[in-house]
Amino acid sequence: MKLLRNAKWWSSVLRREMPPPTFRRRSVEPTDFHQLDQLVATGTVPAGLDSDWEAVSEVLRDAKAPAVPAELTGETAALSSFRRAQIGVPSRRPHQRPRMLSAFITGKLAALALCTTAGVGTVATAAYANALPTPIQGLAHSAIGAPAPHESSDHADGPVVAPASPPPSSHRPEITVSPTHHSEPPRPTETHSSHPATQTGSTETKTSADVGPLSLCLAYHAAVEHHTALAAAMQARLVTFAGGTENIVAFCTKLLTPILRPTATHSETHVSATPTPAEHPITTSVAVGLCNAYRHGTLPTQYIGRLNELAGGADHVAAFCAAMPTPTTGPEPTHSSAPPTEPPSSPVH
Amino acid sequence: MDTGATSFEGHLVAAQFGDETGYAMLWRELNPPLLRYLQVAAAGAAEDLASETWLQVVRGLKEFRGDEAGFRSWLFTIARHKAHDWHRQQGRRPTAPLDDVATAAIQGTDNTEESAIAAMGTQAALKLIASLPPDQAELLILRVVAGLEVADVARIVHKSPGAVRVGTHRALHRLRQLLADDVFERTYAPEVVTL
Repeated sequence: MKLLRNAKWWSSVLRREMPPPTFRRRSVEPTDFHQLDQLVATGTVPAGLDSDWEAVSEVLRDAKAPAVPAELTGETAALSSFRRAQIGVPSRRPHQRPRMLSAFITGKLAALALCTTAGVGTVATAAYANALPTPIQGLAHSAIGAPAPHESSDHADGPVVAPASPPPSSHRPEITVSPTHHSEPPRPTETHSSHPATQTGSTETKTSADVGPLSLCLAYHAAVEHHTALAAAMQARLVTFAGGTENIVAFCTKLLTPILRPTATHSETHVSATPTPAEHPITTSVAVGLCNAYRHGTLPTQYIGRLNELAGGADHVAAFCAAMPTPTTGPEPTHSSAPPTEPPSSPVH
Repeated sequence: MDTGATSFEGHLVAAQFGDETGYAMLWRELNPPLLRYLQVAAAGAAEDLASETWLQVVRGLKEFRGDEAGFRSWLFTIARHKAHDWHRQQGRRPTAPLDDVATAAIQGTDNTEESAIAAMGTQAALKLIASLPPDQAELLILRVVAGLEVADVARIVHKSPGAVRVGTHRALHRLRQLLADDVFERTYAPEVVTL
């Protein structure tokens, strides 16, 4: 009751019509300055001010009172946006188009992610084991095993990542450079034992949980994007890989970022060093995966443009996908089989 | 104080490296003052503008370099621009229809008496502040609720530090006057109990 009476007495001010501004324009006496600064800073009336300032200080304290639950209800959505940004899913920039190669790789990842989240374990595993071309696996390997072969901050500032319209300088406060922000990224985990290469020859039962960290992270990405939960077995496995639930995002970001966002240097190096046949599995898997999602109506909007490109135009998507095999038994494990209907595509610009 | 700053900046660095927990800590700490600022600066669009502000933060987070004060300044600078853009679109001056917000805040709580009363107190205080001239209300919110220093506020609102101090003090005097006018109504408000 004391709380009610004390905190709320001035709320009566609000219940009646606000009077027209009858305030006298009064100058602020210089003698007030420090005391009023103190009132603002501490929320308590400093010595030397009249006791009727208590009412003001009470309003200030109420204004900065601890958060109420209603002010924290948006956390789930906020974290979802954050997660999307970490994985590279643009939030509201549909006009921005990724570069050709990264777009291809993204499509490839989408196909894998869709496979894994669809719960088709064999499909996921087969695609994972066979469809990843050497350069991509190399990238994945280096991302998993080697501690940061390329500075992660370089990736973060790379041309693909940079916002289409970075905050204008007027939006940025003066900031101090703090070199400690470039400190060591999350420590490497013991994922080397579960590298894709070791799983390729595995004779274990191919369950949905029996996939490597890359597939798990892709499935996680897809689950985040579709606001669904990861299958419990996959979740548990991913937690093991990441070394804890709280590390999943960092772990997967580290794993996926070099693949999603290759720098120009990496792109050129790996593409030029790759014989052209390696492009076929990418395109095949992308096309099969995208078309499969397209048929099921689960193709994320960000990949619609990719499918249109592959099909040679939005008008040709239906016919293009009709010619695609339905991956009920998984994509072709042989890397030399490219579908005849596949349009010519050049990931290198 | 030091530990608080250190832990905030620890969360900030973690968030910049993609750590969700770090980002969640930043959000929990700063979303309430952000919402309160926007309720005063852009009443009726606070929730939407807060979301847009955080989206922009996420986009620029990796490139941000600065400490806690710098981050707070950045956040509220973005929010201020959002509020201004919103007013331009609305084509009207800021008003203070906070009743809906207050009701929503109370209904959104777990309805314990304490939190409802706390929400009411905060929302009523914001409404009272919002009844001040917009410039003064903004200064007061940035100083008191956002917890920004005079120099930071000065940069955000493009005024001199002296002008910020004077404006803040004018806001306090007006607030005092408003409350003094109701000096005889400093009584128990029965309808609050029904909440």
